[in-house]
Amino acid sequence: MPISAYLRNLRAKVGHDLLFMPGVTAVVLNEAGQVLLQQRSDNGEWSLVSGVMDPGEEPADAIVREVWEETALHVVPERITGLYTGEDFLVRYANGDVVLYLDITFACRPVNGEPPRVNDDESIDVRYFPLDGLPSMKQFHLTRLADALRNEPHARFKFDGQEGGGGH
Amino acid sequence: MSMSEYIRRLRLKIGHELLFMPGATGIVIDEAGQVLLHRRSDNGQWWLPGGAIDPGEEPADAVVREVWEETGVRVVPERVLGVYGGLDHFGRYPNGDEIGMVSVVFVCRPVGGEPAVNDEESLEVRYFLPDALPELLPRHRSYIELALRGDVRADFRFTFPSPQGAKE
Repeated sequence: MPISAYLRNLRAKVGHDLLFMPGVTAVVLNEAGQVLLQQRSDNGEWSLVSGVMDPGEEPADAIVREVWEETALHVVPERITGLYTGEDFLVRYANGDVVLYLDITFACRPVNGEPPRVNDDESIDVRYFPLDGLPSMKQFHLTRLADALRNEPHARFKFDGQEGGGGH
Repeated sequence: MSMSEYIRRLRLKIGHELLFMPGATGIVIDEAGQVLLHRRSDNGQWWLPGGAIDPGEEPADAVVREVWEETGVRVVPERVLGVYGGLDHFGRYPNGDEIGMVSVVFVCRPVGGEPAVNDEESLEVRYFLPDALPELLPRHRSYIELALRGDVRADFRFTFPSPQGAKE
């Protein structure tokens, strides 16, 4: 079920009320070790590519779909690098809707060396950046990128206020 | 699945309609290699402990809370076993409420408490040896099998056979 149909129906009944929803983010690294970023059309900021899951969709399928929709790149999700929520993931949309996301971040590999391109109206620009030449980005994007770059096999999570994942 | 204030408030507005939300499930394995299960009072089935994650709550904190509420066992989440969406995570409660979960499954270590019926959600609570499990949902059985294999990577299901972009 597309998220739009689900949300339209739900929003008609709950108005702008807080909804807690699962979302997905991609850390896409190409063979040169560059990371894929999008410049969002709604606020002009650079960010990792992310999106909302459709009800019934697998998280890994959702991230493949989102990266395709926004950058025209086909990627393969390789591992879950972390789970994130909290204030940074609370979004107040221009229309007043409030959504808190539980973000599932995947490290992904592009299936070929094609350059990304703007593929829908959610982005102004999409491109690979070298890690030593990143544009200005909010900390929660940098944190998720850094967590993915650790190359740890396990997914990171927070527990009892502490950073965790695999080490307990 | 005791209902949080968040869900109670939404249910007042949407009735039994589908609510799509993040959930957390715990696979609690004791030192003898036994797995903790509880028999749900609403449907009489043996089940892994777990439930909805509250907005603002970290998934790992949610699994600790749910395992405590449903089994009386205190746990520490050790790793993310996997994150799953998919229509097998949709269902209808005996009261008619429709739910679709994106489930974060944690492997947990018991650190205190004793398995016991701790609230009205459970009829029985006990540990089972992996070769003597009661009838379980296929997905719960597969989580347990995966947990016992000990892979630290977070599992996910990836159903994309080809680029979604091929439809372009």
